Amino acid sequence: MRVPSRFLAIPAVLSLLVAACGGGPGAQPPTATTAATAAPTAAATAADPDKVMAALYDAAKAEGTVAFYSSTNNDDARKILPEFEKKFPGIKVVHTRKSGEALVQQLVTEKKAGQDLFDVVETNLFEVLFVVEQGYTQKYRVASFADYPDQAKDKDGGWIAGRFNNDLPGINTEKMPAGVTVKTWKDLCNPALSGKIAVEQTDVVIYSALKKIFNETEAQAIIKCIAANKPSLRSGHTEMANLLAAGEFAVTLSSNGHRLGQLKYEEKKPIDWARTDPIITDVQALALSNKPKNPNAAKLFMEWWTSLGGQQAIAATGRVPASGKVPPKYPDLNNFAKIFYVNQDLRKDFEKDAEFWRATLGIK
Amino acid sequence: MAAPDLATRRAGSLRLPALRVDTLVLIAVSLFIAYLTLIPLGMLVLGSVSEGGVLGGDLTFRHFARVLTDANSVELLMTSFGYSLGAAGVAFVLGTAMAWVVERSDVPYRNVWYGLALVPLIIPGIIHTIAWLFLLSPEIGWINAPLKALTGQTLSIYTLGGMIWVQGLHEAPLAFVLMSAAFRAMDPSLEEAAATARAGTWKTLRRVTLPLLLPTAASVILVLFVRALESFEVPAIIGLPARLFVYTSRVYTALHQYPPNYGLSASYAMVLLGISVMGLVAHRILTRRSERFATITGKAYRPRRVELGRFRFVAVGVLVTYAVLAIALPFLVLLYSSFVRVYTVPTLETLGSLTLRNYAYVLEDELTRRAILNSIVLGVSTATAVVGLTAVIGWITVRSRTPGRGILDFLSFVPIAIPGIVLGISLIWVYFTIPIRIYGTMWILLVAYITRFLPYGIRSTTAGLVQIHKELEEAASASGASWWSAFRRVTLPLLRPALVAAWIYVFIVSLRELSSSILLYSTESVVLSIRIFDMRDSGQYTAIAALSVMLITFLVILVAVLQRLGGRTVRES
Amino acid sequence: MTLSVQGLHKSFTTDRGAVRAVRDVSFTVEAGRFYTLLGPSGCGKTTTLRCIAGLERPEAGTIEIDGNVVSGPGRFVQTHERDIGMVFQSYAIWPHMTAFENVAFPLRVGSERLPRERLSRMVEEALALVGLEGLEDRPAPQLSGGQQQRLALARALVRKPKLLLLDEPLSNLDAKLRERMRVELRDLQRRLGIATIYVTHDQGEALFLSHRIAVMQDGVIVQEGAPRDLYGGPASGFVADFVGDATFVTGPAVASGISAFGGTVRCRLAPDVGTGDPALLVLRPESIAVRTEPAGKPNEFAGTLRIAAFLGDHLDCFVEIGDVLVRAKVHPGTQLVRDQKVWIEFPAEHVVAIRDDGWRPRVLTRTFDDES
Repeated sequence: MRVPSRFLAIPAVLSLLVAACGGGPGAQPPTATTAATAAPTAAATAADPDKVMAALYDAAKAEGTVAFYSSTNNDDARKILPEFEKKFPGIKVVHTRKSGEALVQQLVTEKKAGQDLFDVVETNLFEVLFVVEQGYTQKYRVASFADYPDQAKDKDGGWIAGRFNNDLPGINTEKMPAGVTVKTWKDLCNPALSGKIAVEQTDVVIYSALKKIFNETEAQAIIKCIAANKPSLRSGHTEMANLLAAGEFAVTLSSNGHRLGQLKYEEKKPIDWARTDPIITDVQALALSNKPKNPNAAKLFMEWWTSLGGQQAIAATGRVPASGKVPPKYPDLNNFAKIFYVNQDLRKDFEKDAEFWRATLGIK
Repeated sequence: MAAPDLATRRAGSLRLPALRVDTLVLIAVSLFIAYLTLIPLGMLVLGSVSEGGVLGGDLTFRHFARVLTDANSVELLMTSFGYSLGAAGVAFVLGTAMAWVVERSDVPYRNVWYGLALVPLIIPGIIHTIAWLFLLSPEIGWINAPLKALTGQTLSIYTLGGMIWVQGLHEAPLAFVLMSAAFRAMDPSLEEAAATARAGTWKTLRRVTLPLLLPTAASVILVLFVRALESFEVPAIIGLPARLFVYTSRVYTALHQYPPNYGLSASYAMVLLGISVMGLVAHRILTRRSERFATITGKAYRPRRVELGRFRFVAVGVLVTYAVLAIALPFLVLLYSSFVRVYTVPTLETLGSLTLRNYAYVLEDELTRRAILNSIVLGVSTATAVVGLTAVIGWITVRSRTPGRGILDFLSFVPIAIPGIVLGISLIWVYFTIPIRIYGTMWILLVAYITRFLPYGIRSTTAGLVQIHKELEEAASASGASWWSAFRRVTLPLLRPALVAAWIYVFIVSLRELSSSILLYSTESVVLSIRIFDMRDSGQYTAIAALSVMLITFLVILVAVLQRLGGRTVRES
Repeated sequence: MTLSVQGLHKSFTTDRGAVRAVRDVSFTVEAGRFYTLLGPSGCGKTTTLRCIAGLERPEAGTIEIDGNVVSGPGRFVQTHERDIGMVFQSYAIWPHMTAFENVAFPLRVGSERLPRERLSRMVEEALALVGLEGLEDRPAPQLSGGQQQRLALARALVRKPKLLLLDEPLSNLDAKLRERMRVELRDLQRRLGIATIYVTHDQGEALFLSHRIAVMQDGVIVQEGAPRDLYGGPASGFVADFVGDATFVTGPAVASGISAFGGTVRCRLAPDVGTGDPALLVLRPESIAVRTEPAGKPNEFAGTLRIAAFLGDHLDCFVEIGDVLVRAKVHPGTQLVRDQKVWIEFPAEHVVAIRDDGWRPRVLTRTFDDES
């Protein structure tokens, strides 16, 4: 079985080279350096992802499937998952897709009923952490562990992020009042933007993050002055981004970076985003079931998802891969000076933050 | 006089009466309904008094205390009431007016109108709502741009009126379907009697036709009200920016916490259940003396249509106005959207870059094809099962004097107040606990759908049965027909317009069901609403638009065919 | 004996509590007889009929049809297993079937499968019986009211049942048609000789059609008998009032009649009326002569003519004597003027006084002064 796996390794290496050369000019230098420093570590610990995957693949063949519980939408999943199935013939990814809270509801209900149906779970960090705390997962350190920034993984291997959701203020360049620019969070307080700003009603995490980035007083001041601009409340980030592109408002407090990128580059809409200092990134974490039905396939899948091949497949959809080695598809979604990663600490005050958020913005 | 063939029958009747068929059917159906609805109801109640985010916690009344002390409750409930009543009113008035014109007047092209009237129902709620946002947004509305140029004024969708209008238009087809079944089944001589008493057409309509239709009307309004109450899209897309918050959002907000507060969500859902039950009680009081309202009398009648004469043009005008407002405009937005890459205000530039990409995307997608097939299979099965079950339950509640029939009626109505996500969770739980392994298959979706749509079926069939004079069934018994034979040969055929209406409606709402499907589907049992939800999540409204255009075309044809079948209930020569 | 009903009881629960609709009702119907249950609405006549049909389940009592107990202690035979045919007040014609299908239905749902030709023949016979031949293929909704009524009858008869049950079948027809139908119905019943139970509130129909009549009041049979006996010898004021028209005069019984109209009215006395008992005189309008001059006969009383309405076949007169308005039907040729003084006279043998049980007709106390 070694021969085919070695053959399979070749395209992976080739694609790495292609990616390295083809990446946007802005993205190239940091990626290259990260790759250079990470490679020896992986080799030294003998955890070459390709070798690990080859071994797991042998064992996983008998299992045949992997149950992947993920909030990656089907349209992206059907671009990403076939890459895995192509690389590992005979192993089918059964993707159970729902939004974060529904995914957790289903998973927890299954577990409480004594059913071990999922192998790998992948959704918002908050939700994954909830599952981890219930004891429904186990630690697993992937071979590509070193490629990931510290904030995108649990140092003990409890979870690891495969992709990021950048939460950026979205801008409709045609609807922006003349002379107004949005570069920082505070710029959203500009009275010229009164009635032209939209806020997703559940974005409490932005406030929680701002508290950590600045301090509580300043974070509250920002939310309060945004509230003074009479924001249009919205439900659903994608909806809000689409309406931004349609011209319903000039700016959003927070939109998904990859959706803004799609609208700007694929659909040629007058869309841009603020490069705040820092930007806030929502971590989409991956964790392994404590009792996976298909343990080898599950580990194989986690390895692949975090490997160069998997990350490139994710990047191809426009989403932002978490690996430091793979640049995102839209270069200006990566050239941020500073990134604030949504983390465990933000959950502590969730109820209190939510209360402030709702009271300030008038969400009943 | 004695015929020999009756001798054997008399001999047969000498045995002691065993369990009667109707008793057996009654027991079986009651058990089945209890099984379908009591379990999720129990889960809801249990959840609302359980400690912790999910099931199995200690007993607590913390969640209820929080619900009761919620400072915004009153305001939220008032908004919910205003919105739901308004939407039910708009939908009822529009739907009933349409139904009367189509069923009882000699307006031309009746079948065409029938098909067209259903279109808003088939458009997914999200698309319907966004289409109206694109029509009436003060910022980018298609209607508002010329309106502003002409009058300097704009209409805003972001008002309570806007919410009512959009939801009302979306649900008007439901009123239309159910009310036209009622009109079709009504004895025109009752109206003619009024006409001969020198009452004008309007007076007849107001004084005779509408009061006679009270049981159906009460049912329809109740269903419309509860549907608006539990609706999601309009409050989220229009209500939220207008800062009009409804009570339902509490149920969802509680689930959007970390960890999700299942108990709190269930407690809020209990309040909704309470409101729905109040509606049901009001409905029962209104229709208690239902026998007075039998409108299919034993005197067979010919369906007669009111000759509109010169009002014909007025009626056509009204229909056309409705068609333009409720059908053509949103459909046009939809059609246009299905040919562009991203939803946007049309300009010469966008019109120049129309594309078939969305259609190709939808048609080539294997998952979408599977979803369409699954949804049709589920829709047909659900509609058939619901109609069959509710015909029997309706018969029991309307005709029999069985003790506990009120409870049966109540049980089949209760699911209307159980949030889909609660139903989904309870079904997962149930089908892991009992040794019926249907989790992850289409069967569990079928169970969920039947449970969820029982209320719509029961209101429709009960209303239909009330209209059938009971002597028609008794005549069958007196003619020697057993209960089952009488039910099959007399009751069901007479009930057919109501059954076809309920079938069409349940079929279409099955295609739209999302909130319980999302927990219960698997890759194999993916359904249409899930695909639409996915596309919405990935921002592909235009693909949804293309899918909707195809769906509408398909369903309008289907409904037209069904109408032909259902319309022959009363023979026309 | 085709039908026997013994000690029938049935009550209903309504919004206002329990109503005892039928109380201890017993009667029998001989083969071939036409038996009518007559009474005002709510008297229990329809409930009794529905118990016989098996559409209601009685609480007590025994019902036998043709010697078989169909309802009794521990036994209840379903409607569809009873040997009956029934016509409903609303006709209950099924609008989704043709005339033929309506009539064929009882034969088709039977336990025995009839050959197609035999079935057709029986249906055609039944339709011919009621004069609907040739309308077999007509959709039921396209039949007139009278035709639907006949169709309902044909459907009830097609199985050749032992017992025919008719629930106010003529009440939905207009006056002319109703009269024609009752002639046809009487003729048909006499020809077929089928035992028939007929429920009506119309005494004219009851008298015209029946061999025997049972008058019901508040769930009880108050009197049963042949039409002539009921009319001539009512057991109570209620019966006298319900079967035929009458003027009622109260007064204590004396040896040869009752004391009323400021003197003695000579009449027959019911057997249970003794001298001195309060009695109720039943004056049938057709027994009374009205004259402008006294004829010097016994039972002659002076009064004032208040109404004399010409009705073609008679003059409908109301004569005021004291505080009583006496109704009389006289020959249309009689010359009478309103408010003139008249004398009424009636033969003692045509008038009966019955026990006064306190019952009063509604018109007795009414005066016509304000209308004259």
